[in-house]
Amino acid sequence: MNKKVLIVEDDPALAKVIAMSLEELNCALPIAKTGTEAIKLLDESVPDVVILDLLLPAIDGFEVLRYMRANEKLKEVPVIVLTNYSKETARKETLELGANEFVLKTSIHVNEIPGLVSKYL
Amino acid sequence: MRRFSITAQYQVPFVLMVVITGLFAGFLGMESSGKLVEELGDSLFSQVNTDLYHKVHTFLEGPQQINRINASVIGLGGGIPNKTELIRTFFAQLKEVDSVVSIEYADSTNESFGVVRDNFDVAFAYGESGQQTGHTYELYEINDGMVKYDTQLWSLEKYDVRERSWYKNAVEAKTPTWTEIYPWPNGNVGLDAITVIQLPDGRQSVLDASLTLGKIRTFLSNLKSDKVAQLYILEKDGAIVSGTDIESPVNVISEEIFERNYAAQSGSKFLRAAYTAIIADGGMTSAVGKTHQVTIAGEKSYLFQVTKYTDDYGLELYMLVLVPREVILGRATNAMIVTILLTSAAILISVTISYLISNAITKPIAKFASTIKSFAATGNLPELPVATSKEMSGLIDSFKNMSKKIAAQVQQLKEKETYLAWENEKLHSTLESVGEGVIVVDESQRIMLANKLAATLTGYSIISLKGSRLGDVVHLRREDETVSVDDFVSLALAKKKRLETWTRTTIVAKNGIEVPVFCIASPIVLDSGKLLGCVLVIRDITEEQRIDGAKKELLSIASHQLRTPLSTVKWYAELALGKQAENLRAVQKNALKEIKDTNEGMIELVNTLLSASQFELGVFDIQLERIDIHDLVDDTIQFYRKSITDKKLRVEVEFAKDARYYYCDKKLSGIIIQNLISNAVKYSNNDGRIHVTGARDTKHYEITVFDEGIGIAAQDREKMFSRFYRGDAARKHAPEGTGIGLYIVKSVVERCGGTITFKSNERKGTTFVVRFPAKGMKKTSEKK
Repeated sequence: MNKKVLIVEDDPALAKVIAMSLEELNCALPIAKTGTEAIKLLDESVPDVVILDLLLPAIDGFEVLRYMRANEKLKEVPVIVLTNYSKETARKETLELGANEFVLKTSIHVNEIPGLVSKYL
Repeated sequence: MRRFSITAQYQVPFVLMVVITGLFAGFLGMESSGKLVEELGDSLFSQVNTDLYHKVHTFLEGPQQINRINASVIGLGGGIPNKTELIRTFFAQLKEVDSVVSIEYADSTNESFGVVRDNFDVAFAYGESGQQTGHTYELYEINDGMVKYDTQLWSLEKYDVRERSWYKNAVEAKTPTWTEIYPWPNGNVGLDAITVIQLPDGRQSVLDASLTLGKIRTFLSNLKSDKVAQLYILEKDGAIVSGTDIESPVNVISEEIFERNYAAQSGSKFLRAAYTAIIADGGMTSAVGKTHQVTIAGEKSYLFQVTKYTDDYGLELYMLVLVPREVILGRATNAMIVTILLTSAAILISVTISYLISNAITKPIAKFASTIKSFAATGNLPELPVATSKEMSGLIDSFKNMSKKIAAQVQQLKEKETYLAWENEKLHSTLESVGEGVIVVDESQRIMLANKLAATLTGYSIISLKGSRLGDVVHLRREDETVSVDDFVSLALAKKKRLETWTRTTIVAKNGIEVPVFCIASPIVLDSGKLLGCVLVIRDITEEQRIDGAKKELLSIASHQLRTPLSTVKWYAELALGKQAENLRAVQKNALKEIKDTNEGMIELVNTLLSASQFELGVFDIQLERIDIHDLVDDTIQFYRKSITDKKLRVEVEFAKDARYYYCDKKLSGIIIQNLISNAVKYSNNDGRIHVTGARDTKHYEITVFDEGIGIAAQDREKMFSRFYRGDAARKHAPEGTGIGLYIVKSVVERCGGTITFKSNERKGTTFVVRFPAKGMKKTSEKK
């Protein structure tokens, strides 16, 4: 059975390029464009890894992370925060909330994304 | 202690005196007869006795004094008696001193001479015996000091003075003394004062001055003019020496034989009665000093006293003074009444005068006192009493002066009070209008002053804050740990320096409400260096933090929004240039590369801009910790390893031992170091040298970054730290730079309490020097 990596990204172009970069991993790559959608998908099925942006309409990435860590089923799912939200405290805050990694989008080469994810598969 | 009015103090004793005097007078009246009178009589008696005693003493001392004088005369003559001289002296003395009957000289060679009153004191005679007279005593008449040798009064053959009793007595006694009373050849009865002198030639001389009892009687009679009193002088055994109403103390039986008369057989009824009383009292000795009463038949009652008479020459006699009782009592009563009357009058007068005086003194004082009281109560100067004396006048004048001065001072004080009240009001308004909590403490950190905001922040009322200990009402916390405000203020007091709290400090009010604050403790130090206390300013930074947060949020969102398209372009370009690149034509590939590089430049620009905004807006925190700066430098060099290797640069890092660690914010330090090293690498020519040093002294921590690069042109130096400014050389050398790095470094350095300077030689290199306080970075509130 294929692994599943949930991409939570509100920007469609970015969501697509992330998905494209992960094709080589042969995973199911569902995309959630909002926090609400992400929670809905998470409730439907537990993914193997979540790539999470922080600034999302309505329910933001922090809330999604909080929801996951409070949920028995989702508690252990690895979360890679991949964002351009560069508030000083964001890194600290997300890691404290239980994110496994915090990566600034502009600081990473697209080819590095599969490696980032495969660590947790 | 109770205090009495001055009137009471003066007048009460006088009233008491009047009462006591009255009582005393009444008492005397009751006791005017009887014992008291007798005692008073005693006292008068004793006065009479004492007076008589002294007179008798002076009289009886006469012969002894003459002997003493004559002994001196002999001594003055070298101890050898000059006969002619002595006779002349003796004669002069005899004529001068009535009480002395004879003065004689005799010595152990049986020579003797002397002068004597003869013929009932009318004439004087000179007598001598010795070798010259063939030891016959010859007595001649003297006239006008000249011895009439032709007029021999009588003579005595084979006269040996050494056989005479007076001579023998004197030699035996050795010291001046008296003979007993004895009859003289001329029929007189008397006693001699005798003195023995040891002459230098071995002779013994005797001087003799004599006295008859008749002389004593005459003396006593003359002494007692008041005929009512009787005086007697007796010897211890009652033998009569003399008396005022006694013919003779001796009975001369024949020329050679006589006997003493005794008091018990005296012809005087007074002496007999008195002596009987003396015997009844136990004899002469025990009767001494007492007042006796005798009643003589057919006469009045008499009072008498016995006084013992002694002198230095062994004489022991008893004086009896008898006075009629009525005379004594009369005198005593009279004396007493006069005394009482005079005393009473004196007391009455003195009481009256004293009362008047005390009134005169106390009335003005009392009046004056009430004036002062009224002045004290109203503060208005009332009409002063008219001075009744020089002293009062002085007092009133002084008071006038004083009260004028007081009035002036009171006026001044009132003005000052008004001024102070105004100042106080001003201070309070100022304190209240200040947008911060202000607490003023004294040196022992007791609160002297606090404003409303301080009350709000602490949760206590202003009233309860005043007087409280600072530490009891102000509770500071930092990151869930209690911060001792006492220590904070103590440190400021000890250093006499203004201190600020760290970031993220909160104050916890009495009700538990926690508010973020920024505190400043400013010691109040006088010019003299004396500490008065400390002002603690507590600024509520809730709003600042909120704004800070909003700014940060804005920047974060802006950065996110800006970066999102950039990362999209970045990743698609990277993706296109990746595995699929082989399907592209060279032109397409190049175009994609350009897009990718430009995009990277954009990303860097956005990052830099965001950082710059962050510092410009002041929305960054300083978290101080001990950082290994050396390590940080090494890491940075490692980061630029590729460029360093490409350019074949030589990088040297040299840190002083004590400069390895610095108390600072790691991220900010990283920004500074990274920018400076990055610049050094960027603007170095190939094969250049970069030298990074770290050092500290007591005041500063210093990092220098030296390069041998292109340097800074003189015209560019002023604008080096301006935003987006790039020198021409820099543009040519590194076209991809943003011109914002040094601007950020300068902002960060200054916001952290440091300075940045540089020295540069065009085309030769640049040295940047960053300096911070030795103790650590410090966030400054204002951008310089």
